[in-house]
Amino acid sequence: MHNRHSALDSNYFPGDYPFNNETNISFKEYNNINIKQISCWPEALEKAESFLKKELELPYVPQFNKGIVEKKFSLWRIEPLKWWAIDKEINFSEELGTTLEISHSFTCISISGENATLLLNRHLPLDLRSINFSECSSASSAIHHVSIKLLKYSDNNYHLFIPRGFGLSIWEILLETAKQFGYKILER
Amino acid sequence: MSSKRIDNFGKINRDKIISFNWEKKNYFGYEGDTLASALLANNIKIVGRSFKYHRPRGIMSCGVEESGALVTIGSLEKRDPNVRATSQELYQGLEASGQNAFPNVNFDFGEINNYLSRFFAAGFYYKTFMGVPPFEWGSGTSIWMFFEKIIRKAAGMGKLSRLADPDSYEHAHDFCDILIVGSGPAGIAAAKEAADKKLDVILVEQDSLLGGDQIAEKEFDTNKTLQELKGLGVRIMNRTTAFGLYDNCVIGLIERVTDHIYYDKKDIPRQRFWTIRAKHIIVGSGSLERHIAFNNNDIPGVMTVNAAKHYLNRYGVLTGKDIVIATNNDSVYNTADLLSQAGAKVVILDSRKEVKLDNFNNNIQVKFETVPYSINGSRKIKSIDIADANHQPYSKIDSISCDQVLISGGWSPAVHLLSHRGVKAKWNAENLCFLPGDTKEKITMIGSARGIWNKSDCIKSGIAGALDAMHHMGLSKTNYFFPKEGGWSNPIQPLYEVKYNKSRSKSFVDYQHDVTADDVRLAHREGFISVEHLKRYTTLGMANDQGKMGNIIGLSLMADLLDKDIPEVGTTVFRPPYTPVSIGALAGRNVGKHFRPLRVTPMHQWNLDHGAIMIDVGLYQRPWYFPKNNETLSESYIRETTTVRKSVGVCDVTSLGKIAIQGPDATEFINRVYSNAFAKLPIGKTRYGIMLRDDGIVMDDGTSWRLSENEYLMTTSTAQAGKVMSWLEELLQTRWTDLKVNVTSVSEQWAAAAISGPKSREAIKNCLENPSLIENKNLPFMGFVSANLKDGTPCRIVRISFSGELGYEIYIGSDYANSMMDLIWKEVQNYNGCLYGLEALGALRVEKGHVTGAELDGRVTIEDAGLGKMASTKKSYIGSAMRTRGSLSANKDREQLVGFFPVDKKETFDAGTIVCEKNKIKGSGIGRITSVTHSPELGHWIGIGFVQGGKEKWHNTTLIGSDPVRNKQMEIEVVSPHMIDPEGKRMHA
Repeated sequence: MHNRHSALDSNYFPGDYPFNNETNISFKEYNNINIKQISCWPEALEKAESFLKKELELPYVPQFNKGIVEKKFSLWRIEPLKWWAIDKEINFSEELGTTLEISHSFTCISISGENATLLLNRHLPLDLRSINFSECSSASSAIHHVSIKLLKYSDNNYHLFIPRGFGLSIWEILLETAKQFGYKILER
Repeated sequence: MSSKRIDNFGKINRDKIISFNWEKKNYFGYEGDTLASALLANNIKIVGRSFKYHRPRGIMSCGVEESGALVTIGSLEKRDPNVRATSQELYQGLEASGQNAFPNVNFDFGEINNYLSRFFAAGFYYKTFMGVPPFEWGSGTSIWMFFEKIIRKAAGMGKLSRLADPDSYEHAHDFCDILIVGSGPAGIAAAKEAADKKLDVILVEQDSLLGGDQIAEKEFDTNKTLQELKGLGVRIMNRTTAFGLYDNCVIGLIERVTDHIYYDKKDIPRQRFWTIRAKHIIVGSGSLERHIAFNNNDIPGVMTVNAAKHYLNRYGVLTGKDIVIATNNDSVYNTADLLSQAGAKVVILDSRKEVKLDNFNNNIQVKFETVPYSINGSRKIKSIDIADANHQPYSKIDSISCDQVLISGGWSPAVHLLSHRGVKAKWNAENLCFLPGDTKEKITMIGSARGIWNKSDCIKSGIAGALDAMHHMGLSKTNYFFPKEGGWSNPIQPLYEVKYNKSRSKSFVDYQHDVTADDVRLAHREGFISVEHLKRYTTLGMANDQGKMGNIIGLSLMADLLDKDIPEVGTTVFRPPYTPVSIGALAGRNVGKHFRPLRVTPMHQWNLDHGAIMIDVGLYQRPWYFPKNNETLSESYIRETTTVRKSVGVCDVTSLGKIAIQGPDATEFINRVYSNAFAKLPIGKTRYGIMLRDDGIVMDDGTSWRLSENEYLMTTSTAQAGKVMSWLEELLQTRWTDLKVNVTSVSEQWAAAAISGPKSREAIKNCLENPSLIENKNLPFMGFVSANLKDGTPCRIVRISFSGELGYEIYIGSDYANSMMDLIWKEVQNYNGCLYGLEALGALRVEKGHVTGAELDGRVTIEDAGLGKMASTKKSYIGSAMRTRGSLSANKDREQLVGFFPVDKKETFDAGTIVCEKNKIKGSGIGRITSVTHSPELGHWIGIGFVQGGKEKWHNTTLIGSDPVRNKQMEIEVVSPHMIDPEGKRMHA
């Protein structure tokens, strides 16, 4: 199989881009990410949760807009009846719901560092304060009119999912905004 | 006025000298100065010219209420007009100039307007609609058209550079428990109280320093306060103005990030537009000192009393030598004392009979029951005539030589933010001001914004405000109370206008718009007595001022004329913004290339690398054509179209909408959505489908592939992808909640390329692991197969044709798109094939009579589009009932899809051409041409579109194509829309 090409290939240049000799944000694209979307029928929710718990050996199944991060994969409940299994192969039976491969649908950018939250709030009308948006929280919103999903792995450490076709445009506007903080782009 | 910097006063940093340029001359100030204080320190009196009469104006205040010192900052592309010199911090190299003057503010030809002022009274421009008496020539529109150009040219303050703004701006969002507007004594007390209870507090201050009015107190230490608040965890936003208050405690703020420094890079935005959502908002926005209307009350040297205190104690500038203070309230006495201590000779004119004050300097002369009558001087104050307060009509009783007149006609709480919420202010007769009205929203007013005048009560109100907020949030049960409004030792006495006893007075109510007391009286005489009419007729309280200075005086005059009390006259509603917001800040980063988000296909760069010229299609950029050897657009697309018809071409069709439809009821769902039958579509097959709106009009067309028993991939047109996706979700969520179906947009998941032409099969075969998969018998027309490219990359191939030729579309995971294109392109070149763009795609489909968005424009029925056979009569589907209603089905004269040829085959025509009968070329004719192209195969221009009655009615009749936009007419004939291979032999090959 061919290597996967990222939407950011034409404008992804790793390196340090400091402001006043400081870099307070790190960007890294996860360009080979695998996403399975699993959706359950309303009446099968309980069974679906039991299935996920057992199949993925999870201590619990995350609530809506929450996720659980394991060593090699993570599971995010991005809608009341919909999960994203990241880097994990899993399928629902027809009785439980549907499974859809959407790995190529999104550009995934990790945004971390002291000013990561500030940067995101330059664009996102989301309350990202820890008291409201704790670790392993997720949210759907929009940056520059483009719908996005935001997953918070830890304090000042987020994964931003942008529809692939808009990835480059949003990447460029994020970099413009990040100039005031100083940033680095990490190797993929 | 002779103002100067003096020692032992002020909080500026005298160790840091700052040079700046005013009206092309260099001056010096100090760190901590505003432009206004630096100008005053340099004894610059005239800083602007008034709006209508071009009267010289000086600095009249020290804050956002400034009406006189509206200046232009910067030059060339950095030019920024209408900046208040009182709010502009001084920085090294600042360039500033006065405005509304030619050649300059000191000598302005426009001053002639002052002598023609009788022609520029309130509403003069409305009267230009009515003709010029006594002749009344050119009444109505024509006379307005004549005057409009002159009025528009003369109107406006300052001039824009008309160059692109070089600065960057941005938007930002934040959240907090309590947001406090204003860092005066009340705001600081509220912040401390709330932060002490561990709440997340944001304190917003429009000034660069914290403190509000306290900054003008010698003993107040702004840095100490700042550190104290920071230590408590209060988030401080200085240089930030709360300009608007909106629903649910959403507040809009403008942060001036680099306006106080010279900054020519784009790394940091010039201004930041904040949207902050708080659980509770406390407004301690302070109050504004009012003027008094009397003759020549605008001569440079007139200023509010409190401003003089700020210039003295904050900036170390004594604003006059011989100062007359005119007042009706207690607030001026402390300032008079300070000015006297600083060396000024001060005389107070107090309209009241007497006042009792503790600790007042008895050496200052106070003239009770005396009011200002008229200022003498034109470019500076020479003296002031005074009048007996108790003797009306007023007349001059004496004259006092002076160089400055300070005025305090009372104080108006800044209730603007609360007014934004629709809360009406309440008149308080005791304090002669509008106080904030009651609100059920989570907003609390504190300090002088609540009408509380003395500092200790302001602090108490701040603490009460914080407790009130916590009470509303359910966090505190502590009892609290707000101190009573007011707080002066002696009552204020009404004094709004000292009417000049001679004709043609210049007694200003609203300085910025040159609205005089006579204008208010004129408005009354002409029937504009409601406050809203008064505002619009006279422009009182418009633009920068927004009622800060002149509102109360204007209302009092109108109340007097109507013989009513002020509350009966009412007040206008304040609307956002409180202070001007630059257009750049509103736009934020959505400018230039980011004016709108760009959407690209996964092959975008590949297309560019292979010579594509791109075209905007909605948010997408798609390849338009691939020129070779400097070909023009026409040459290129004709070559591409010809190549596809003769050999093979490849086109990026990724932008088509793609929707995954999954679940046990997917077939039932899709069968209800499309007008044609889908219930029995076999697995591995695809079908063209039409979906209608509820009203029976065509919504979109596309294909759906049956991937498995319970899974389909639906494709939609590029333009309607989002709409169809929303439509399907709406149907499942509101109408057919019983269906077990999931729909998901997979438009971004799949990249797609169309490979079309007689050689397409052979070209694709060489790209596949198993070439036999696409043999005719294995993959017939409208078939679908999952396959692997040569390197094992999985893909989906559907045999489908938009061009009318043998054709396939290959869908592949987006990240593999470039590799797929490399592979296909290599093979296609072996057959002398080409890459083709949107123009050739359009030409191919017009030749075949295939409809797209140009035809399916929201007016067309399935029959109109010539696809009536696809409307099932055996099932119910969206639009099936309404499409049969009489006005759609019984009207045989509806416009129907047809093809058009020019009668003279050398003629060309354009989309948008109106089809008319000969000798009846008018209106919207009998039809329209929607798409045109040159057909390489037919050798002339062709078009498709609609004509009443369709082809049958007009066959063998010459019609006229009328193109009024391009002033063109040509004879046209109506033909079948299917102009190439109408039997479809090629695509079935």
